Amino acid sequence: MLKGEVEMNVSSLVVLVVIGIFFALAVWRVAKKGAPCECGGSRKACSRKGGCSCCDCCED
Amino acid sequence: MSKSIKIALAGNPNSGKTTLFNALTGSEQYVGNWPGVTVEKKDGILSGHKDVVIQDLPGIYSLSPYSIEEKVSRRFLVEEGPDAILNIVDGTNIERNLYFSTQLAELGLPMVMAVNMMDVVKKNGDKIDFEKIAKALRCEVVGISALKNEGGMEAAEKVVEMAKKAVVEKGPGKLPDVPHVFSGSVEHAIAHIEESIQGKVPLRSIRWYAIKVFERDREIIKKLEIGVGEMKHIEEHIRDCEKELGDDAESIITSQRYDFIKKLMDKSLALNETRKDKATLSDKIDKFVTHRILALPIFILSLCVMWFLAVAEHGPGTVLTDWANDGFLADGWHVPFTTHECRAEGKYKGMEFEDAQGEFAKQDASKSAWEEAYLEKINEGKSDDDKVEEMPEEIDEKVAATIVAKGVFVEDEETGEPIAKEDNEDEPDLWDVDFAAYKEASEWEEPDPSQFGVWVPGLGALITDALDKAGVSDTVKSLVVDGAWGGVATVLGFVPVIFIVFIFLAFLEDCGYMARVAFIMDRLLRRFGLSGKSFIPMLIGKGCGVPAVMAARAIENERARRMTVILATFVPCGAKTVIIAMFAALFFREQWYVAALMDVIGIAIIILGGIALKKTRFFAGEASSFVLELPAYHMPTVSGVWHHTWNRLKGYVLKAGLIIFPACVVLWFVMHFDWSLNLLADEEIEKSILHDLGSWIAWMFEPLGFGSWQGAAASVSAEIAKEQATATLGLVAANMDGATTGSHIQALFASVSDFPKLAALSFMVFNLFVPPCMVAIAVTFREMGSQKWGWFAVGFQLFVGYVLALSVYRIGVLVAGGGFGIWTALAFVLDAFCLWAIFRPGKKVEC
Amino acid sequence: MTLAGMKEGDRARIVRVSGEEAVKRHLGALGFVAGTIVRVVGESYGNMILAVHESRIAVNDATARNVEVADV
Repeated sequence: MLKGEVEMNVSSLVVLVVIGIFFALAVWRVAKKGAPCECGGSRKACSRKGGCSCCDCCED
Repeated sequence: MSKSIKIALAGNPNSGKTTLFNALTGSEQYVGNWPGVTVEKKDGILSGHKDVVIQDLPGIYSLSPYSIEEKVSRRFLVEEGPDAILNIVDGTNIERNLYFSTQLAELGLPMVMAVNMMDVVKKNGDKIDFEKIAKALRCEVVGISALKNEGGMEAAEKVVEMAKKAVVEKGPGKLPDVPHVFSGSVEHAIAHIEESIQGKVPLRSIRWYAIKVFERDREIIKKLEIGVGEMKHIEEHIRDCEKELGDDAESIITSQRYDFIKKLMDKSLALNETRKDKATLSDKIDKFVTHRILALPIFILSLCVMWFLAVAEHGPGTVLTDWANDGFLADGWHVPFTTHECRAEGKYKGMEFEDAQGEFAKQDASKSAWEEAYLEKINEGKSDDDKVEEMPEEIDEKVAATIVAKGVFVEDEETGEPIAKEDNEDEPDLWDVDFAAYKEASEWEEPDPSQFGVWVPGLGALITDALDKAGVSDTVKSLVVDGAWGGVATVLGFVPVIFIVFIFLAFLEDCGYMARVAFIMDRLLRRFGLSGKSFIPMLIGKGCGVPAVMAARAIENERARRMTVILATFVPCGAKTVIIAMFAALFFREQWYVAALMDVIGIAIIILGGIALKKTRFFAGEASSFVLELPAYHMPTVSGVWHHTWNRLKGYVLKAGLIIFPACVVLWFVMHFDWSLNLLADEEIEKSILHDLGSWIAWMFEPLGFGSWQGAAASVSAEIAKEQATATLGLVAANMDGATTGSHIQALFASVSDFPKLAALSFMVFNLFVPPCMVAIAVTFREMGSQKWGWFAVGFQLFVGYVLALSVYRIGVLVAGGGFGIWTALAFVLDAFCLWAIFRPGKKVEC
Repeated sequence: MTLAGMKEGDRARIVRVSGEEAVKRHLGALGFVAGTIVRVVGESYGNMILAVHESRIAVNDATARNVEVADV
């Protein structure tokens, strides 16, 4: 079914761009804040490795 | 937001804090809920006051650094500095609650004490003199009833007023008027400490800091950087007090606080004496619930209720899951009670929807069987290039008349739904299809569900339709439907089960039973180095490992908490059940016990793993103490349970978008492209990037009996979500001999091993007991608190899964007569190591 | 005498709490300080439910042995 070159038309391109944007957004967010905490907080902002800014980074 | 007034809401657990918070903020909660390690710090805007933020701190008993919650709360109160404190106090247990209030008062912030449950206090016939308490603790005191929504708003408005006034009048730099609760010599020492730390701390909280220094609080002393000479001087004062009072400094502070409160209560609290020492309703319930003999049966009964609700056939959990997976997220669903037989004219008139579907499947099967036979016939003797691959428009009537194909069709045993013939590995029903039957079959069109009731299209169908209408190319459609949406839908399909488990757990927690469960199970689990509080996570683990690992937060003993996180995911979860079901059907039809055996193995790993881990130096030592307040039983409120459930569910849904979605897009990509980024046809998967990636790591699975790129790719992709293992296997085995996906997979295992059954068992065991899916791994890393511990957990799980699969395969082969090799030897060595780890004498560590 | 020796319905006055520092601190916050009266509400295999002030605290046998008590 999927053989050879990807056929492209305008709507396919639009869908691809939308998927691309969502993909980039998700990756960007994970890259910026680290893997998501349940709390929606940021992992990178935490001084402790693996900690989460809103949860457990205050543990010594 | 910088100019808003911040009010911290603080109080003991079970003092009605959450109820008050929800009443004060209403629906205007705006910043997320932040559940951490038993920490839930919530922000919300005070109803009707856009500039006031209420910050809900975790329920704690004290500001000493005992638990993580206490550390978080105290750091927040001391360093981030709210503008004022709203201290909620349980009026029916005021003496114990005031212990925390005296500490809060010492922070020197404007404070209003809201004495909650005044309705109960009045009903009990007790009397509390607010004015005397207010005078003693230098704060405002008001009576409220959070549950009945009485007085809470007035208390909040009062504290806002105080905060505003404090900002205008004082500023934080002035020495506040705080209560002095200690005896002469202690006060004297504290005054000295205050002198020496002046300038190092905000003036308003100096007394709080001084008391912490007196208690020799390491964290505070380190932070204040008190000089050695200075500290020596302070230490002298502390020692004098200890000598005089015959106790250590910390105990002196604790007991003098209680002395102060007792004296205050003598003046301000008039208890109804007739109530004294009388058994409450909760005590009477506990007589049964924590009874020596009855406790366990009652507990098991409540578990049965939960499992009925969540996973039993025809229970609400299954019904909802089916609806989500097959209806809401897939093709669509009929609104209940609107279904009827087909009324529209046509072939389906008078039929129910399911019968119509069955009829169509049968006709469709006839049609494709005949077409296949026809094509075969007309292609006879032709070279590959000339072969006709699709049904021509014009059918050669002469040839057609000679063709009688075999129709193949079966119904699914459980659901009665028709299955496509390639999914059927049983003896199929066969019937003859001649040209007339073919022509008849061609006239049947797929039944239109909207003719059978009110039909709501599912998200999957909507997406497919939208893409079709927009004329999107097949490749992009496959990316969206099979890649991105498929993965996200799989995860979202689990939401109903998780939702029901969460609701039930929230109910058990809110009504007070969960604390009793921990108490009952403590005796048993202690033997394996776990705590009574470890049981709940393992219970949840049968549904899903992610909430299971999260639930381990409630365990405050660090060793027991870490062990629980490592072990909880060995319970086969809902997704792993999919793998078990598939392998049981394909390879172990005669071994009915294999599915149940997997649960037993999971429990055995937890017990033996617990014993072995406890003997390592990381987990050595008795988690000897168990202290837990048992809150009085009460009927949970709907909004309380809802808040609890929703806050937990939210994170799970978030992850589907942030992790699963990108991962599935990537997986789709490596499956459909080769290294030169050429798009591949479905049957060209052997040229794909995934094929090469799988081949590179296939050697790792060689000792386990499934060392092929397919086995490797399936095992690795299972880390996205465990049930992905079955889906990937189906895809990558597509080129194997055989008529059905099932036989492809059987052929795949036969091609890699002389003992395909053992290889299949090894594959299943491996995928069940290696580290869980990556969502659960991510949660594990967070709950373990550090990268190092996260890797330890994953390493342990990997070791267990690998050794188990290796032993199953190699020792199995040996028993089956396949001979002894180097890997068999390794299996025996590793097994011996495991036995040693379990049975060696443990290290004795004195507390 | 420690809490571990008490039976259901018994009342006693706490004299001293010993054991691990952190647990001792937690017990203190819950009201387990010298002078407080405790009552045994329930007992099962040495684990206890105690009434301290107006709350119910569950402790296991090891913890109960660390709480020294005297007759009221």
